[in-house]
Formats: sequence, structure tokens, C-alpha cells
Amino acid sequence: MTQAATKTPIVQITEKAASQVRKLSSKEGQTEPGLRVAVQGGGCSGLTYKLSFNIDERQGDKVFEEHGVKLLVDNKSLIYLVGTELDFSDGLNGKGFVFANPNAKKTCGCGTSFST
Amino acid sequence: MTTIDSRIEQEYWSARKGVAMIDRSHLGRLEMSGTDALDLLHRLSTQDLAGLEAGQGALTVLTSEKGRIIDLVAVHHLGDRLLLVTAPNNQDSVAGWLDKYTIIEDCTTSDVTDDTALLAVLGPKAPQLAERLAGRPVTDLPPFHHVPGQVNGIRFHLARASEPADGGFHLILDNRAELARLQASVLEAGHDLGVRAIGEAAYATLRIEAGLPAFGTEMDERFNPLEAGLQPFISFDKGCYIGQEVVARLDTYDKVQKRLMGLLLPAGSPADDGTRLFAEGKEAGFVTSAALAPSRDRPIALGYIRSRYAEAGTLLSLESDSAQAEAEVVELPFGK
Repeated sequence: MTQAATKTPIVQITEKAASQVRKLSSKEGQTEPGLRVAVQGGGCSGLTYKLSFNIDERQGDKVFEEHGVKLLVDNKSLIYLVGTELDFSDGLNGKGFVFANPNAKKTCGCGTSFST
Repeated sequence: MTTIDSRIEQEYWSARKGVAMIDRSHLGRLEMSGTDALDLLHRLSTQDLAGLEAGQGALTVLTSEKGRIIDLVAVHHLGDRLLLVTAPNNQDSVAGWLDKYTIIEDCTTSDVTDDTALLAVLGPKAPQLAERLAGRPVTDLPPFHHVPGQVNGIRFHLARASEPADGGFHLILDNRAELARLQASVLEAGHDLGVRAIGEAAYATLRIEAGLPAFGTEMDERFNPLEAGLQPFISFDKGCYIGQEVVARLDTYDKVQKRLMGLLLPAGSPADDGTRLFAEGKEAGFVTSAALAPSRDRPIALGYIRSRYAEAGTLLSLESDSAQAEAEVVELPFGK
């Protein structure tokens, strides 16, 4: 096992979320399951998460792989996402992808916006 | 606050009856450029800006996470960039606030306040003067929309603006060095209309009469936009923006605690900014701005009044030695 493989990814994804990403990636026609995770201004609390299937690697990206899914995070967003775990909440009242972000001091009611 | 200076009175009437000009270059001016600039501002502020196109404009409120006012900003879409007009000398604060929330976006904010200038024309004859300056009809120009103008070789953007005395226009000058020449050109173009340059004292009276809140007195982080009467500049169906959850909750559950109202003060009243007002022995509000208006025999004021007393005709006592002195609550703007 290499040193890199033993490291805990800075941004993690649960098996449940990874399974969902694999399904959606397949529907999107992606050859490789993956997500770009970013933070942008907006939302009730000032910062909001942005997910996209654009997994072409760009300069400065950090790339993590877990449960067969590739996660890409740009270096600006990474500051706000260190230690974050991406999960998936399903069912009638499920919220879809949910973030457990230790940097978020306040989260809005819908859970997609936060402040640090 | 007992008598009005005759010069201020003349300036006041020139705006109320005809047209007046005032240098408002102390308003901050920022430019936002980049492919994400409009989308970012739409996501951060209260107004629905998503469909804004070149030549158009709008007022939008920047609010904190707690739904308190950071600033009320005019946004003008210039095609390749946005021009933001902030409250006086508030451009650094707004630029810092925008920068804080610019993470992955392609957006650069730059302060152009010192390079540019802003001249306002206001009054019932302002549209006539504005048409001459723009060289085209502007009567139907919607609020904050703008057209390019040029007079005596001086280029500017002419935007319909939120100004007192029946509204007005902003002439936003690309080159501040040409401000004096533009002022002379405006006075020349509006000579037969009786245009007159006015000062801050006359402008303050006109502003209070028009019920326009000002930053630092009626708008800042002590207040939320619903209290300040800024509902027309808030979209309640566009989705999230910073502070939206708080603002929506206040609106939905009718939890607005106080409202910006007009006040007719007793003649010779000592009331001024900060004067507290009482009803039934309890504090009912406070004065934020007061002035003597030449059109009225009583001083006028703006003030925040607790919602239960914020009805036209309510009488409130002043915190002063004259215990009988009563202020009358009126709707804004003050009637003519």
C-alpha cells in the first residue's frame, strides 16, 4: 500500500453518496464516475456548495478517490472544505447530497448554504 | 432648528418647482467585471438581477447573514461590466464584502470612485433637461436604466435615479477631470428651465420629504430592509441570497418590529437625530433625520416607529422638557 493510499482524503465521500455519484455519472454518460465539489458566494448564509460533473482536471485541483469515485476540488474552495464529508440523504424527506463540514459555523435551513 | 437660511430655501424651491443640480460624487462607484459578475451579484443580493441586460439597471440591497442592511446599491449594466453606485464613502466596505464572497467566480471588483464623478439633476423639469443632455427622449426610461450621453464633447452615462423632488437622473462621468465642464454645460443647457446648483442642506430636506432613507441614518446594520421600506427592491421568489432566510421569515410571519415613517414635529421643536419618541409612557421610536421644510409650517422628520404605532395620525410624545409636545406619524413620502 502506498503512502498516498493510506492518507485520509481531505474531502471524503460516504459509500451511499459514492453509489449515487456512480449512478448519476453513468446517466450523464461519463466514462469515469466523479464529481467536482466547489464553494461559491451566495445562499442564505453567504457561501454555498456547488456540485458538477465537470471532472476535467485543472491546474491547482486537488483530486481524491474513495469508493471508486473521483472528487476534484479547486484550491480556493478547498480552504472551506477541509475535513468535509459528502453524504446522501434519500427517502421522501431526503435532501439529496448533504455536506458535513466542520468549517461551517452556521448553516441555513435548507442545508446548502453555510458561513465560516 | 428654528429658521431656514434664505439661500437653502431658494435652492429647495428650485428643485421642487423646476430643476436642480447637485454634485453627488461622494457616492461610491465600483465596477464588477468577469463572466460571473452578474450571476454573483444576483446570488448575493435581494433583487432578481438574473435577466438584467446592457442598458438596464436596478436597485438591490446587500444584506448580512442576519438580514441587516450592508448597503442599498444601484446596479447599471454597461455591457462588458457592471457599475455599482453605493452609499456615500461606502465603496470600500461594499468592495470588501463582495470580495469576501468571490471564491471560484470569474469576477473582479474595482473602485472607480476617484476616477469618475456623479452629478444628479432632480425636480419636475429634470426629464426635460435630461433629454437635452442625452440628445434623446428619456421620459419613458425605466428606473436605473441608462443611456449614453454626450454634451460639449463630455461623455457620460445618464441613468434614471432614485432622487427626491419627483425623481431625477444621474450623470455618471467617465473622467472626473471633466466634472467642472459638465456642471457648466448642465447649467447652460437648463438655463431657460431655471436650473440651479444646490447644496447638501437643501438636498437633505428634499430627501426627508421624499422619504428616501440614507445610509448611516436610516440604513445600516441596525436595520433590516423591511423596516426601511425597501420591499420594492427585494425578490421574494428568486431563491436564496445572503440573509434571505431571515428576511423571508420576517415577511412571512409579519415580524417586522419597527417601520420607517414620516413625522410632523411640533413647531419650534428641538427634536433632532436620535430624539426618542414615546406613547403610553413607553418608548415608541426615534427620529433619524429632521429638517425644516420651506413648504411646511412644522419641522419634518424620518424615524423608526414600533410597528403598533406606525400608523398615520398616531401622536407620539417627544423626550424633551416640553412634555406636551407631540409628533404626528405620517406616511411616506410626505404629501405635497
